[in-house]
Amino acid sequence: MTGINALLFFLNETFIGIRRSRLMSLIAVATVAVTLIILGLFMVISANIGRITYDIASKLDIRLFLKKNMSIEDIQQFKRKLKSIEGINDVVFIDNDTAWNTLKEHYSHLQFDEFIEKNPLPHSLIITLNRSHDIAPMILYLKRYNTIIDDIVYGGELAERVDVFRKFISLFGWSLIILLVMSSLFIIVNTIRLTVIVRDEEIGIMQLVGATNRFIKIPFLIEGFIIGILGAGIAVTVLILVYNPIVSQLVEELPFLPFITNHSSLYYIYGFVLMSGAIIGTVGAYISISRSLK
Amino acid sequence: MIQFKKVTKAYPNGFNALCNIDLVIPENEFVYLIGPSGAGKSTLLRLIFMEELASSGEIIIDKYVLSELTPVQIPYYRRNIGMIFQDYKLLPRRTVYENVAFALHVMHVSPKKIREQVDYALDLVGLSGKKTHYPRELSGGEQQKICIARAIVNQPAILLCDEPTGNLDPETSWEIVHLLTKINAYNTTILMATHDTEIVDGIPKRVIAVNKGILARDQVLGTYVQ
Repeated sequence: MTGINALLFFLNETFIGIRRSRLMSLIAVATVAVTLIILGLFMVISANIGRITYDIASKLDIRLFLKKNMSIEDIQQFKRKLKSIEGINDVVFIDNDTAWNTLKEHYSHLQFDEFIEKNPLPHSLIITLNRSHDIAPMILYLKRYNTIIDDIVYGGELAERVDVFRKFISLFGWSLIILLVMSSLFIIVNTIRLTVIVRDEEIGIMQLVGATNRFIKIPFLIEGFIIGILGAGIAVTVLILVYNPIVSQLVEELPFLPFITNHSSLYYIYGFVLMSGAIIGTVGAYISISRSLK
Repeated sequence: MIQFKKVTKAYPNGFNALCNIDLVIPENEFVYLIGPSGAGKSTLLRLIFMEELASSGEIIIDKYVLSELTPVQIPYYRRNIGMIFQDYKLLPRRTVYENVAFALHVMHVSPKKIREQVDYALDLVGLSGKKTHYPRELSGGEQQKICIARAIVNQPAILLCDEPTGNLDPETSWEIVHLLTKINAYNTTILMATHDTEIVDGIPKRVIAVNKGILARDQVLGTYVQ
């Protein structure tokens, strides 16, 4: 039998098998799909958090919130001093009124004026570093001026916090994914097992006419592969359909966060999901049929 | 050639299905295997077909020493032996043609050869006109003929028949035995387990009688009752 003939024969056998256990096959496809939607969602969320972390970390701005007792003159003097330091590119003074107005403008729908009477913001300085300059020693240096500076906020610190959050999400996500993949595998194993039991007599006859175990296994493996890839296909379709509207909404609500809006950046996730489906399906079928042929 | 050398088959519960069987069946012979139910006839066939393994002794079938075959080699060995059953063991959801072709698919035979060989086998058993029928649409005798066609489609050297006429009326039984005789004439060794006195006496062949697991009689051109 040539390769193509063998393939056609096995495909035919596979579809006979799927047709005979339609309901179980559908349940298996749905289970794989649900598992992989969750897997895909975690990966997409993780990728977006990763992008945000990178973006924050790559911004070399340092914001200094100054003590309330500082006069404008003292601040200007401090600003001049900072400007003369090597590695500092620019220092911009933001007085508290401007900051307050900007904030109110940005979040106009929150109507701060209704419940905050007095401007709570301090004066601030925004330092931009030269790209080549390391941010960490600069922070250490600035911390000396604790009589002038009330708080130092910089991208690195925020990025670290976001990264901790991302790691937590990742850990939680992967634990959940492992559980889901295991349960999905369990369902696939049992679904294929049921189709094997239904075809037990047929398998016996195959063995009687001299079929090798490999010959008997192949249609079941293809069946598992098809179930897995169909489930994964559904999962990827759902992810694509759901991602765009959600991200558009997020971009509107949180315009300062760099969400991934270009689908091509997520292709590797979709590829991973498809591959996972194919692997879960095939491995599940292999476990199931191998048990039956012992 | 089928050779049994002091073969014993004992089950874990202590029952000895076969005891110390010594037997030689040369190529192209037609042999009746007779004996009461539980005498060990089916066990003897199952040992040859490797559905069961001998507890002791040696079975040699042509070039194969069965105790030396690994599980991986068993399917390849079975392709040299055809087997027909009292209950036919057909695939109910496949047509007559597909049932017979299936035995060749497992051997990776090319589609052209499959068509040729299946047509030949169905022609030999007289079912050429019923290729597209399903087994349930056919009589018992016709189903047994599908089973025979499937067993001989790859031209095995040996054909084992486990009470092939057990479920058939006398007329159909004769038809089946005549068919087996015809297959035997094409150089196929036939070992047929049967209870059918009329057939054994009507077409005299070598008779091997087993009783309680022991070889009770081995007679050239024998009869059912000595």
